[in-house]
Amino acid sequence: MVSSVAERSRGKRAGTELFVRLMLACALACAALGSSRVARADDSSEDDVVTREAHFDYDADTGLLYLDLLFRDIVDANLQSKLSRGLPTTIVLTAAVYRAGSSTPLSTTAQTCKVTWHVWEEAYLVEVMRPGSTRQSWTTTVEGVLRRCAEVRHLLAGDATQIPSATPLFAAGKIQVNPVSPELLQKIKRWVMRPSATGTAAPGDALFSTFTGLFLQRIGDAERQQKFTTKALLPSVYHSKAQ
Amino acid sequence: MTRSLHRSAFAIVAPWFGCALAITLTVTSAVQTAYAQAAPSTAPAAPDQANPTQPKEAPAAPAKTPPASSEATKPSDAPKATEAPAADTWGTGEPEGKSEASTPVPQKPSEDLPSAGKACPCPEGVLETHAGPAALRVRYTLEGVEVRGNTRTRARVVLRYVPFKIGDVFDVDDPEVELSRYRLLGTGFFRDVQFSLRKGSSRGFVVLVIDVVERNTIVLNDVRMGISADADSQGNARPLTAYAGLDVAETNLLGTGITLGSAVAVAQDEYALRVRFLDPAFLGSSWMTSGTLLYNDARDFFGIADIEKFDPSGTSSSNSAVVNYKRFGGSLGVGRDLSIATQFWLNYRLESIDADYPLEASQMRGFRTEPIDFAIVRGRSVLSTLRATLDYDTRDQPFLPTRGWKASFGAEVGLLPAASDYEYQRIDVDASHWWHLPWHDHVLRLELFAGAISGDAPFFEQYYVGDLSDFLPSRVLGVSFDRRPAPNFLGTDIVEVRYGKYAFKFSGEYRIPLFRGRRSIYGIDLFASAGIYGLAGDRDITSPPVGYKGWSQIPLDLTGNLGFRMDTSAGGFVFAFSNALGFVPIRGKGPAGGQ
Repeated sequence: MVSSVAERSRGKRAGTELFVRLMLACALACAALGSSRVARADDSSEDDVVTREAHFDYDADTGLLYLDLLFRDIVDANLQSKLSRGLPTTIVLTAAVYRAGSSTPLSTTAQTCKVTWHVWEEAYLVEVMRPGSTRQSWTTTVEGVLRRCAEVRHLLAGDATQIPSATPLFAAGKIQVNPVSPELLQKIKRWVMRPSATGTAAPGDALFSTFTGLFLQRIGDAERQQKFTTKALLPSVYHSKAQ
Repeated sequence: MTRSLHRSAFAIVAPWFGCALAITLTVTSAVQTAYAQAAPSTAPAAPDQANPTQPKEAPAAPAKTPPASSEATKPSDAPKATEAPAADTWGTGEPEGKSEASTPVPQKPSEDLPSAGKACPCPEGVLETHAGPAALRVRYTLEGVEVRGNTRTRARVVLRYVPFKIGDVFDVDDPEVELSRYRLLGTGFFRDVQFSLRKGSSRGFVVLVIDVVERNTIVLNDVRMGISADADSQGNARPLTAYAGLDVAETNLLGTGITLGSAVAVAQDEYALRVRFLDPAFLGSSWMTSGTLLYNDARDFFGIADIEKFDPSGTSSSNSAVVNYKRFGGSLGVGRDLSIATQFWLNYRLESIDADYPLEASQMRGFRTEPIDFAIVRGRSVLSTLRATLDYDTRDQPFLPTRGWKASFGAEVGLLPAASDYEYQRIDVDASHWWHLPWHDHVLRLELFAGAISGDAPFFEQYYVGDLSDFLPSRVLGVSFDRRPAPNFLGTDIVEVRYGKYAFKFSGEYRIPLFRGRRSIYGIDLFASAGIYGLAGDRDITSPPVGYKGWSQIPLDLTGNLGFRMDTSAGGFVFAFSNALGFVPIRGKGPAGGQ
């Protein structure tokens, strides 16, 4: 009986200690959440939306809207050096056209540019794909690649059934370098999660991510990605048939 | 005047002559290319065969004259868009195949095609081809694979992950190229991996260059800390004590790709050690081998209430009947990836066990005093088992998965012919599935575990209540640090069970993402889980403790947890409150449990 009372007394003390420990755990969790806000600020670079210059042309005879957009800066020095590695580099533009002040897209468009350095010809094979068509060309300079891939000219962006006339428009979307297909992305993630060559720890172990998660988180949808928007502009109207 | 006329005439004729020359070169090249394409695709062309008169810096009209090592897609492979021109999206208003020169958008001079541009003033677009997707596929013959930047990792370890062999046709668009790069990054041996091609010894041949940047490969796999309620060697309860565990591994031992790891778990008067290795490609094959050495010097706690011990020195009572035991041994295993998501392992284990516990001990089980079954051979004994495991894992993330399966099936048998003192068979199934819910990226997980043991398994091989209940510390390296019974929220005889031969657990977890990032902190989720589990030994089924009636004779209990899961660049962390909540005296009790 004496030991039972003593144990109860110890139990009460333990309860008090545990309450303190619980509070400490809460404080730690709150601190973790607090620090995550700082991390959010650090992580915002890829989520930033860049404002780019664009130009809309509206062909009054055919009722088609065209988009001009430049994004040469996306191909920086690092990417330029990768262009000549002999393996394909893909630059993809996807955009939607909006009425000024609206968030409902009126139409969408896309362009894919694949650049492959041919090590024996010492020239770039540039393959530009737009909806419904593909164009291939060769160039020997990076400038030629930039002009074909990072200067989008006269890209069909909508037609009269989608675009209201005499309305200010803007485009928004993203530019991706070497995007990864969802299927390949899934395959890669599975592979990386359980690389049989490491066998370090079973996924789910407390610190498994020290190793794999660090890399896994880097596998995004693309090697580089930039979101953009343009200023709202009235399309320039011209008559192709008259010309 | 005459000179000026001559200049004018030259000015008129020269461009046309240049054009004619370019066209002649183009036709010549096209004919040569046709010959080159007639040859096997892997056969390298002689140097400068395709453009014998062309300097390297200025390939003549390369678009119309695909390189000798490039192959045109067969007509049947061509997309239908080229057969029936689709709506033109180039803004030309012209059908597919029309020259770019006719587009309303003015083109810049063709300074990037020097030979064509300088030779003739033709618009750049004239030299461009217009074809369906993938009309040109760049392929080479692989002459070699070169690994650069590896100071510690052996080249053969890198090449293990690269499926391309010398002599293969290397298609630059093969998705296996990118997958191989990610495979190498996934090993964790490298901070960066880049693939590139350089010219081989003759035209059409290339060398695949793999540039790697190595990284630290000593990794921290696991850190555990907690508090427990244990007892001294005489079974007398002690105040709360702390325990800790650490697991560290070198994943690229001497650059061989072999993992060598060690782990330690420590509590007061108890410790456990592990050393293990894993060779992911035994003798360069696709078989994996592993080995483990273990040493445990630990104790375990039996009995819930009114424990009486009978030793040569006399009879005594305490809070627990303690088994002091040592385990020393190891295991060897072979494994193989059956698919990207499935892995199979076969392990043989041999251990020497030395256990010491009271000659006899009894406890109040329900309302009846019954002997305690320690489930281990007194003194020295041998444990010899063979275990097969099949793992299936399709999760999208290891720490904060949002979808997929993780399932494991294991079967183990005690091998009496190998001098084992423990004859038993064991089967376990554990399956979890994650669902990404359609609202706010919430995630639901359901988990089912079931296992059964027949025969005489030692207690540390049986199912432990702490591994099923979140309110008790689970075992670390096979050592249980806590002597307390289960909380017993349902008022069943689960409070009488510490180890059992039959176990199940069904639980669900709901996760709410609070934060997603890409740098230091990848994600923080709030989670809450709840489940029900059952644990029973043979005696709990054949002879339930006296005093429990009806449903309370089924040893079930509830479990649950609440906390945060945080995936960071330093690893995954769980801040959970169940371990602490387990100390709050809110537990229910059976007729005699916990008294």
